[in-house]
Amino acid sequence: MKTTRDIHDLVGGLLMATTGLFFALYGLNYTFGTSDRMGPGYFPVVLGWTLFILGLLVAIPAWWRRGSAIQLQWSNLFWCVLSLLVFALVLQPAGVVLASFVTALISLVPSTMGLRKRLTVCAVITLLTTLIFPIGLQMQLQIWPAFL
Amino acid sequence: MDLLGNLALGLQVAVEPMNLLYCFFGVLLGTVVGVLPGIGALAAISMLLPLTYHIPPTTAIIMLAGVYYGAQYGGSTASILLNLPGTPSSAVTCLDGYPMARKGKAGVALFVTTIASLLGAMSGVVLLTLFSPLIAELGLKFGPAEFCSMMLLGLVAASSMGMGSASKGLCAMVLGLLMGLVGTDVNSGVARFAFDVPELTDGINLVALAMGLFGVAEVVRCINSEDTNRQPEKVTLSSMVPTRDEFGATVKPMVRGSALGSALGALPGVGPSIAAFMSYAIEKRVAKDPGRFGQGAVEGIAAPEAANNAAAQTAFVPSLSLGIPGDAVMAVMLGALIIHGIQPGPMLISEQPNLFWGLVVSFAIGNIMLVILNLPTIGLWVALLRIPFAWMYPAILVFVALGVYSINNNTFDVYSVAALGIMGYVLMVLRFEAAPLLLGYILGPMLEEYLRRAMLISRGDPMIFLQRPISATLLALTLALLLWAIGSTLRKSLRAKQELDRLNAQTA
Repeated sequence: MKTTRDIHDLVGGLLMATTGLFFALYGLNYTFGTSDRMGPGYFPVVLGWTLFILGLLVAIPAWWRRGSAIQLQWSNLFWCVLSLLVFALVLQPAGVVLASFVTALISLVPSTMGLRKRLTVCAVITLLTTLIFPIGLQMQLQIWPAFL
Repeated sequence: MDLLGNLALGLQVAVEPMNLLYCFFGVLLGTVVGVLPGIGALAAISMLLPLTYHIPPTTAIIMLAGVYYGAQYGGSTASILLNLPGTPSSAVTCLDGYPMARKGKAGVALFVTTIASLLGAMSGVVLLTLFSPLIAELGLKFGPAEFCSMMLLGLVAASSMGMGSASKGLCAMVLGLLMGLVGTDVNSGVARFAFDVPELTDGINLVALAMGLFGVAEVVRCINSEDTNRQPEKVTLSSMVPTRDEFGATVKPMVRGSALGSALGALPGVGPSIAAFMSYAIEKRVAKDPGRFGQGAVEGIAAPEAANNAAAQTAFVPSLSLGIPGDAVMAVMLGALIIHGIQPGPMLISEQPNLFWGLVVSFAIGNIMLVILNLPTIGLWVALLRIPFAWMYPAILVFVALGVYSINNNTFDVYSVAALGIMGYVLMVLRFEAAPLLLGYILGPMLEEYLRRAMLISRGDPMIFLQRPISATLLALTLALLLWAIGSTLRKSLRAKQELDRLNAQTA
């Protein structure tokens, strides 16, 4: 889909400029210092303004440029991120085996695989993970849930 | 002779069974990630970083380097068979490699790229051996001002000469510099941008950042992309033998590609990709019949493959001899050294001769291993391309999560990967390059440190950067690059505006 503006650069540039502005303003909380004795705030503030200007340089010309619409794969992003978060939550109480299995299973939600294949893939991944990390590399990790 | 003594020392280190084993493991894994589109050398190296905490630094760096140059070999396989570059630097190989495959010459193309890769890499290793010590010696004369200017040149070159637009590359680089500042300031002890989160006082975790940007973001993009779900033809070993004419036609391009790649790779900010593109352009110019290019000209794959492998080796020159990484992969590799308590810089070669020379000799050994890995086992790599991405990406996510957790046994790092993965994906969707960001992140603290020292020496007078000749030259180069980048951006947007006006006039 064509749009009249280059949305990618418009949004991207403005995001960058905002981030720069944030760093520049938040950096004022730290001592700025002088050129010969720079305080902790000097470098971030200067860089923040640089990013602000660069962001505008990306965004402004994009106004007169044609571009395509932004396409985000929301569901892929959601399930992948969720699988990582669940891993972090589950690992310590439930151990490597359960955490790997559940993580793999959640991340497979956006795929079109059949249920049996899905479970097989997760089982193989869990087996490999357990063999490589806690057993092969001797990392200090809990394998099974603590309550067992 | 001194050089021979050093190489002998290197050989001794490189053939230690443990180093040989990890070198082999590195190049094997490098080939795998090179062959498979979707996961790059950077993601693989960052996934391996936690593992390297358990092995000695020399062995670790030999393995990580093996992944890096091994990926350059594997990268051409998917380019030729599927018209998909496995690594960014093998994108050029698609131009003539895929047409060759469609004419039934896939085997020959694979053979030529492997031989070209070996030749390119070997000449890069020779250059690295000869010039790194010289540059390190020069580097000993560097003061804070020179280091500052050199880093600035590297950063600007890496961000403005990438594939996308220069201003976006610079944005990503500055954002990286800022992210590198998160954490405790060495001079004052103030926790900057930590927002009262105790874990952030140590800064953003390098591994979490690299995995978020190059692992998670890539996985999200590739899950149901057509790129990662195509099927290649079978390739037999006997189809790989080129005819005498075909082989003869590749000798000169290989030599030219090797020379160009070796020279370019040693410059900060010029990675294998740029070397490959330039060498393709040169071959097209010197060819008797440029019309054949893009239709399956064997020169069009021989020269760029030699160039990108040569550049992958000489990229270690500025990294190891000055401590200034030229690209994101080198930056992660230097990060690995720093974690092991080894300070990369001009002193590295004289203080850690085992590491430096062992690494150099391992490059030669690893490249020979790669030829053996790539030629007889090509059927295996082709089979690897048939594995659906859906079987692999859940494993990548689990390895990423577990790997990053195991660094500090801390779940905070896993949450960071998730957050940085979202950031990386958004940047990818908005077409910002992540490599300059990572480079900025690594160089940010160093740049600030040297800037502070230089300004302290000059009592706040910025003229110090112009009064010292080396620094002034580096800054002049940086300025020239910036002007060129601004110029090309302006030209582009001007052209786009004229185009738009024309379209508006038509519709009106």
